[in-house]
Amino acid sequence: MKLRRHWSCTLRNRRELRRAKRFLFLLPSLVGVSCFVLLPFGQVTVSSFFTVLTGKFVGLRNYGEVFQNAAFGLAAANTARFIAVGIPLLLAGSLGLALMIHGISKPDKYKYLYLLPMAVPAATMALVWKLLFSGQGFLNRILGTHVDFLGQGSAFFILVGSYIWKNLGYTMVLWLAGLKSISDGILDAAKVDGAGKVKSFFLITLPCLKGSLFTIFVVSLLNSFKAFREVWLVGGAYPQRDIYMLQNVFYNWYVNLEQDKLAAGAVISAVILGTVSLLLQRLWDSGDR
Amino acid sequence: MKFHISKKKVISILLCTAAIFGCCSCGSPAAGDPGENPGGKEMGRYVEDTVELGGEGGSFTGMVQEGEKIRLIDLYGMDMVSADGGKTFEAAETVPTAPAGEEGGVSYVAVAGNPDGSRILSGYTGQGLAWRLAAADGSVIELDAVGENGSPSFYSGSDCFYMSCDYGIYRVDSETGETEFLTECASYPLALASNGELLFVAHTSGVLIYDLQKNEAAQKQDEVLSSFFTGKLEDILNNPSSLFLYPWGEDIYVLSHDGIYCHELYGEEMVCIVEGSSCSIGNIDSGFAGMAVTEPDDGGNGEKIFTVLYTDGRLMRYTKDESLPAEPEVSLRIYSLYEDGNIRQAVSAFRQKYPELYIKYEVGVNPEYGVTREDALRNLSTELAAGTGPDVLVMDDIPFGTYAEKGVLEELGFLREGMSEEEYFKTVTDGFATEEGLYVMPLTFAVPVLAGEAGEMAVAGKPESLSQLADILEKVSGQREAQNGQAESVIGFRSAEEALRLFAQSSMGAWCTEEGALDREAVTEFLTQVKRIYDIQIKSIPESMQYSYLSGMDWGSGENALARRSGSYGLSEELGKCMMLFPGQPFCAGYLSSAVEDFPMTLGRLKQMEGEYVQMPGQSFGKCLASTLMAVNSSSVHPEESRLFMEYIFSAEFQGSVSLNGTPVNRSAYLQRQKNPKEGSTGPYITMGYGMADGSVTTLEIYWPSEEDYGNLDQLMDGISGVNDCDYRIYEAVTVLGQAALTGDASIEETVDEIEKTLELYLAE
Amino acid sequence: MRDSNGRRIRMGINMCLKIVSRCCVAGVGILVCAPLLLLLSGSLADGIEWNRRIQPLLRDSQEYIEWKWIPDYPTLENYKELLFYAPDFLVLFWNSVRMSFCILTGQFLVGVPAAWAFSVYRFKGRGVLFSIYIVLMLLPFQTTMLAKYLVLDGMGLTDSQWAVILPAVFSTVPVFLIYRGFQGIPGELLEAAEMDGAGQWDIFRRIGLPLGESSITAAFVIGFFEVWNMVEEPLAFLKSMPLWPLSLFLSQVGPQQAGRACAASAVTLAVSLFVFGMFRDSLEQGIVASALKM
Repeated sequence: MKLRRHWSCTLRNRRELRRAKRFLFLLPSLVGVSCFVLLPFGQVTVSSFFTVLTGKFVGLRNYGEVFQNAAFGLAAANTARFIAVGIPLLLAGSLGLALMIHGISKPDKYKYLYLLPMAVPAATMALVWKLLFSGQGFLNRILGTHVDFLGQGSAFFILVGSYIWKNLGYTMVLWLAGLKSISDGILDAAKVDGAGKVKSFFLITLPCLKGSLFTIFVVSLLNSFKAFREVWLVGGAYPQRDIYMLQNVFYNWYVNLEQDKLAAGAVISAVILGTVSLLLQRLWDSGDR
Repeated sequence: MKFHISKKKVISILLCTAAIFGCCSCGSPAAGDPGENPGGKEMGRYVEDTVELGGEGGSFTGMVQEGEKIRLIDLYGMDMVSADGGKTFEAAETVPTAPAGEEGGVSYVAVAGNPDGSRILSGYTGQGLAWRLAAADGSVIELDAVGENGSPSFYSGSDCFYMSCDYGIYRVDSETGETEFLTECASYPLALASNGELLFVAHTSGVLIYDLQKNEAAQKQDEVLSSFFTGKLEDILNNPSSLFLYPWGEDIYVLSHDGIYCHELYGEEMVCIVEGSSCSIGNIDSGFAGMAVTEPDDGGNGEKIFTVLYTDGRLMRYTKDESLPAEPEVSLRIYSLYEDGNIRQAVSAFRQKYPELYIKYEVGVNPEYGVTREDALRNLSTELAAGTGPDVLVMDDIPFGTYAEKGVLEELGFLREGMSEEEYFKTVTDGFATEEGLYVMPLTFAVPVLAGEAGEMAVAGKPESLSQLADILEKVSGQREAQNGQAESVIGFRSAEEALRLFAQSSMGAWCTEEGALDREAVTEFLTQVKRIYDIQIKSIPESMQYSYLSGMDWGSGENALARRSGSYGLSEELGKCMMLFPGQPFCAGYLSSAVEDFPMTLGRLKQMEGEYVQMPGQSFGKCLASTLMAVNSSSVHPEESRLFMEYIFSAEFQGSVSLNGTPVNRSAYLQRQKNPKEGSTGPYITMGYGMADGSVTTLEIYWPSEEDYGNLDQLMDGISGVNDCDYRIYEAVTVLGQAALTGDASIEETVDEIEKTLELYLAE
Repeated sequence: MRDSNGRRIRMGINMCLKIVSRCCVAGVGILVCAPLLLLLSGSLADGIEWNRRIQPLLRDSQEYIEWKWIPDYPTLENYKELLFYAPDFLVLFWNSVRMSFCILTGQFLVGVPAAWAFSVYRFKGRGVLFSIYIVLMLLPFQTTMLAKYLVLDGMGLTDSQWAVILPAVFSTVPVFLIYRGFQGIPGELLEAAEMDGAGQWDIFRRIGLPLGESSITAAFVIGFFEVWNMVEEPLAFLKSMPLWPLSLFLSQVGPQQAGRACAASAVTLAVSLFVFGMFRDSLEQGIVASALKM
């Protein structure tokens, strides 16, 4: 009894010390992030209520302007469309591939092939795009036509394709990890119970993969924003309508000194991103319990 | 397992190397950066002075020095010498450059001289490339021992010359002409320099140091110098005279567009002594023909005086003024997107007038470094928004409407108030005034005109719209076809792009509504009428001539906004083209500027075809093209100095003293230009030769315009009703996408739709 | 009888499926790598050949770009030119190496402990803070470009490589990725270590780092690709060309110098591949670790 009290006593002291130490782990990152990310973002938030260069308080006018702006609307719609088309395709495609590879006995050599595109610089990709899809390009050579695939609606699908191309391997490996973690026991048990392949996939494999989904989704989302680099390198400030992304608007606003609109736009997108990620986290956590 | 260990080793070794490497050099990212404080001291800064050469001020191609004696070398022997270290110069005795009795002479292309007056020359005779030594005693010796090919580079030593030809390096005795082969350089030699003991050969992959005593490549080569040189290689290959080496004792001075550097032989550093961007050295259009280094009379404290000869014949002296602070208190920044010759001149003149002010000219777009217009605009808006922007802005191709609206630009009332109708072309200076005020003011302008044979012009009258012009051209073309049996060129352009850019000169202002939207109707009308003209013109010129002179041109490198937008469409060039390609062509069009070099030439050519000119018909008939649009940053840290600069460059004092591109908006400066610089001489002002399409050569004598000629020009200038301008993107969209409508690849309707669609996003933002 | 027949058929189908999926995997893999091969072959073609091939693109004619898997006259000229005669290339190359190194080292020193704190300790506001980290990670760069510039300008860092290095060091992406890896460490292990009286630092060093090694490595390899190919940040914050990283060199070579561009890409890629090959195993394990949540 006495001994135990002594223990708890030291434990409490230690706990406090530990708490302080724990904070030390986080401190450098916290300071840096506040300084280089949070502070700028705070500044942006504040400036979204002012005119940028003259510093007049305008309340919510900037937000009103942004919501009424046709270019912003189009860009937001395009970005949403890109995410809505690209991410499910990527997730499904890579899951399918992962399942196939999972079934193969020695999959290593293939896996590395898929991981290669991740290392390709965007500028190089832009060059390949031009060579493949321009009016005199490679694809037209095969088809015997002279269609500028980058100058019309197909540009969007080229963008989606290149996004999937770049991230397929990465996402696939993420899925593979999830697949590996499912113990064979459960699947065997299901087989004994008479569940077919399809049934056991939907009833066991998929629910087990739910845990991986959050990370995979967030990473895919992060990478989807990077597709802008290719858009920028191929189309410049005003690319084809369908691949005119939010970043294009932000960039052009920036160049045209519309920083007040840019600030409002930034806050709006941060709110949306925050809501989405919180919702997902909630969803994910509740599924866990 | 073993493999794993070795792998870890490799990784750790790599990381260590990278760590050492990273830590050494991250802190000082650019050693020898010209942006550093020149000299590094609190007081003392180099100032630039022009050395007046007086008289004709010959065409000097080199400069040599022996102590305080400096000699300017002239291609034809008319040298000038200075005995006081470059303060004053006087003409030297003419040195004969050709053997006595030679007929016809040689056109020399390169020369190098020695302080004693001897020189080495190369040029083309009837037999090919010849090399000659003109010795100080007047004899001219042929040098045969050198290769036949290649452009040479020379260096003058005290009793000999060094020269390179192809890859070979030679020494030539300055008295006897005896030529000795020294060595072969691994890559192409570009420049030579020597301090008597060592010979420095700058070649395309570095700098070779050659020991003259041992007659072999020196044991020790200078890596720092080599890498400095290769760093500037791109510049040098573009403009071979953009770098100059000058060994001086144990040091080497390097003259480049970034400034004058001092490098201790085999030392670690390249120290920037005179910063290029603060004086004429930084003007990338200039080339260096020579440099001399002298010491001040009182010996100074080790500071040198630099005398620099430019390839255009200017001679500048750089002396350190100890009374000026090293880092000037006021440093005024002038910014333009593209290089602008007018601003270069303005900055240079302002510097001389106000030496106590520090002024810097920055150009945003740099195609060589891959900085595009977008990048430059982004950097500019970052600086403006952060409050660190340039003080004076040149707004050509910058959306100044938005800038003014956002409050970036200063209202130019202070300038406008002092401008009287008599002294300025008010329709031009106030051309960009809106209800809110005036934010940009053009420095120069040009009038788009239609020129033509007097007879045809009389019939044509004064067309004001493109449709009238098309009618006239249709008629004339029909007549000519009936006369000659075949269609002939009527107005000179050769492609859809040229046509659009030509007529945009008199129409682009109409494409935009007041709210800043695209005026669909106006663009449709423009394309319809230009297509009519295009069809007449293009069917009448042979297919082999139907190519765009403009495509493939680098728009970023134009002298000013006019040239950038309209390509070669200055009227004088158009007339020249018409003379060479389509003799007998009835009409010609382009913009006319009153520049001293330009107007007499244009008029001379016009007189050749017995022509007249009127304002170019178009949708913005009566308006002129403005260039070098000046504006002031409203948050400039030096408002007083910015105003001073603006007032200066709009003054008659400045505009009248230099030769600007375009017509100056200052009327008295414009009138000043009407004075013949060769007053009193009755001969032609310029004589020029033309190679015709059939191989023959025609000469053209150009006389200074008469009072009547200038009277007509005055009338034209007075008729200007405003400024014709258009947003950069709208202009680009119409002139690029519009081509499809002209060539028939798309209907006009479709083309306008396409233009509208392209601009939709831009205008929606 | 019927049963065994059925089984045979099912086995047959299974075999077929396996072969088909194997073919699929290999086929898609080759397809995925095709652009890389194009690039590699392109880098071996000389300027004249490229000129001929690219002509249609520049002249807007009715012909097509020609592309061969093997160039007519394979040559290493492009590489030679790039590595020996283009001084900028090497300057920028070493800039890239230096910046990548500084950024990755910084991220290691800052990000790994932060990830550890997030995944092991339960403190107030942890969830909210982590969500903020995620949102900040996802926010497009353009939105805070000016604000970042103002901060850097205030510190006097603009137009120095630190302007790119410092913000990247405090990127929240590695924290997010490594966090997942640390979550895989069983809580019992940590409790046991704590019971034994090990200090927090010791636990982190002795247990956290070794067990999280693969995910840390993976985060850094991915981080390296990111940094090595970064475009927006240096373009915004570095005005003078001698400070630029290699990735900007690539974005400025147009189709006119396609051979050179291909060679430059190949060199850039080669470095990435070297890193990739070096850490291949860790990379995969690490990605696995970040995906798992035990």
